[in-house]
Amino acid sequence: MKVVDIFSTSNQNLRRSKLRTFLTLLAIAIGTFTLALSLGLGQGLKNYISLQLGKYKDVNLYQVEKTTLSDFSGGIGNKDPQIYNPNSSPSAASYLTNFLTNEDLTNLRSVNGTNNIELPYQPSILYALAPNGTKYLANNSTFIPENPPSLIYGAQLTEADQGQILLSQKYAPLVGASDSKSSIGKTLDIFYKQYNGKISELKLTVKGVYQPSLIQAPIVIDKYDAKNIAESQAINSTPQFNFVFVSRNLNVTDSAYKSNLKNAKFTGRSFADVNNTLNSIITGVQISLAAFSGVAILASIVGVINTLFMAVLERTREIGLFRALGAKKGTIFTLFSVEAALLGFWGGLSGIILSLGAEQAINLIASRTFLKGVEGIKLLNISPSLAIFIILVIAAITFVAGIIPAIKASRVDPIESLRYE
Amino acid sequence: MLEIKNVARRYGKKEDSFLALKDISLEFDKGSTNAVIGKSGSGKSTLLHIMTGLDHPSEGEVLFDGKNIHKSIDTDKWRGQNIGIVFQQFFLQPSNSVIDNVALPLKLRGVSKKEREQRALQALISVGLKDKAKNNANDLSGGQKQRVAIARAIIDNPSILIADEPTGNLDTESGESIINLLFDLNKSKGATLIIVTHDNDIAKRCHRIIELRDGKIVSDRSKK
Repeated sequence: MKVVDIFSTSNQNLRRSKLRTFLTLLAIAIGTFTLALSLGLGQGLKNYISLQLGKYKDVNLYQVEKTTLSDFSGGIGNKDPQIYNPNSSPSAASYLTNFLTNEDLTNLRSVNGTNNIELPYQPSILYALAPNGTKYLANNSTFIPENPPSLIYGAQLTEADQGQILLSQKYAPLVGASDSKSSIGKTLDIFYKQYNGKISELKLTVKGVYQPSLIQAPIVIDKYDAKNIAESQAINSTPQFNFVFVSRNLNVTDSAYKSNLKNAKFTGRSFADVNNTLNSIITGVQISLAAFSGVAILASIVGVINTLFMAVLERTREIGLFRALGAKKGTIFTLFSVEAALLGFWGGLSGIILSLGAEQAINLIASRTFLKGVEGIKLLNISPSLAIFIILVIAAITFVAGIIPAIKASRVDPIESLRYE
Repeated sequence: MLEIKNVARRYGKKEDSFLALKDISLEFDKGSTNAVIGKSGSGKSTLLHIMTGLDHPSEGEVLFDGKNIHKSIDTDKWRGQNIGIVFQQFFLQPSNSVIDNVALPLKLRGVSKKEREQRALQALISVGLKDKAKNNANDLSGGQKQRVAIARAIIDNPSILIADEPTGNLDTESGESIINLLFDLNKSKGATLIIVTHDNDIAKRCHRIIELRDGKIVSDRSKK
């Protein structure tokens, strides 16, 4: 038989028992619908993470800390007493007090591959006072040249800048600007508490405005002022750090540098690692959700097998006739297998159409309710390639499910099936 | 042409087996008309199944132009190309049109839609049902259905046309008409006609009558 005739005949056969075919397609469509939504949700989150963190995969920056024993040895009450070993034992609360010393920083500088060490000053700001008298929280971070925010307006900070900041696009009201563009050159009035309890005021000028992002603080302070504020807030004017940012000498590979750090008893994670870890977690969630959907698809597969077995029984005579007219066993097998695959195709297509409708509705509702104000997120993202992939996978699965009924059909004895005496 | 040599067909295991055909040898000449008669259980259907290649003989062989149809050639393909079978129960696809039913053998062999529709129409002209081509097969009378089945059997100009109790499901008038049609086709197309029947009147119209009883040929008479 010609391929086109096989497909048209199999498709025609599906219309013979309309209700049964409809119910089987419905089961497949429901399975496909749940699979598409769960994969679409994972894809949506992945895209969001990629949008927010994607640029960090190329950032040459490592978060480096001292390697410690990761458990709470000696600190948990249900453990037996531990013998102190100055070479390997952490302090009882090392997870809190494992600050880098000057000696550690010297060692880190000498690790092969260390290019530049950036100290992550974390100024603690009480509030920012807007020109209209409103006090706003002012979460902030220190400018790190290796990881500058993505600017929309204005100019980037430099190492030499003093009294300047970068502001998130949404923070124009803090400087009394009507829109983010006009906030350039305006002054941010911040207040912070020094270690001695005295509250100080500092006026900083907006140099640039950047695209808001998931992990970037809304205010980025130049290094000079961040250092000054942090020092004024620290004991003995000496801020302590659990970790530092390090840029790598590009002549040393990522894995070699991590190995060098390890040998010097440091642990380094690149920004790309963080991105990959997040993606792995989402992939894991995606697979778990898909596995649940797999149960629904499995149930529909049983329906496909049942439908085809019934079709074989109902069409025994027809199979016998086909064989008597010269059809080979392989032709009969192909007709039923294609019928199974078409069940998967039409059911999958229906499920995808439903899920695309649901995608639009859910994204609209989400953007107007619980995700209102979250920039760049599309909760469900069923891309055309994902949709086609799902339909083909479902068709392939139902094709496989149809193999046993198709073999049974191909083995129908034409003599028995055409007997009427 | 078609030659059956020392064919036997045994069903079941040896200890309690049943011999449906015993040492059957026959030769069918090209263009001849033949009747195979006998009571129920005489072995007529078994013989039909073996000579169409739907069943295998336990002993002996069936030759077509000197070749063993069960061993030397692709039996399914051979049957499709050389044998036209007309069944007592028509076996039409009720939801399909008349022309689609007639064209089915060509469809199974991969002939293009245009060609098979042209040839199906020719076959329908041969059986006098051209005007019913687009009708649904289910809408026809019994006699018309059997004509459609005959058109389906002759669509690829088979060299052998086998009719298995072709009038068994028809009234006398329709049955008469169908038998006339089969003999007309034998004349016009030159196909060897083998009618399996228990109707002596039909058998008498054939050049040769082969009678089976208990799986054996008890008589093989030819008109001079």
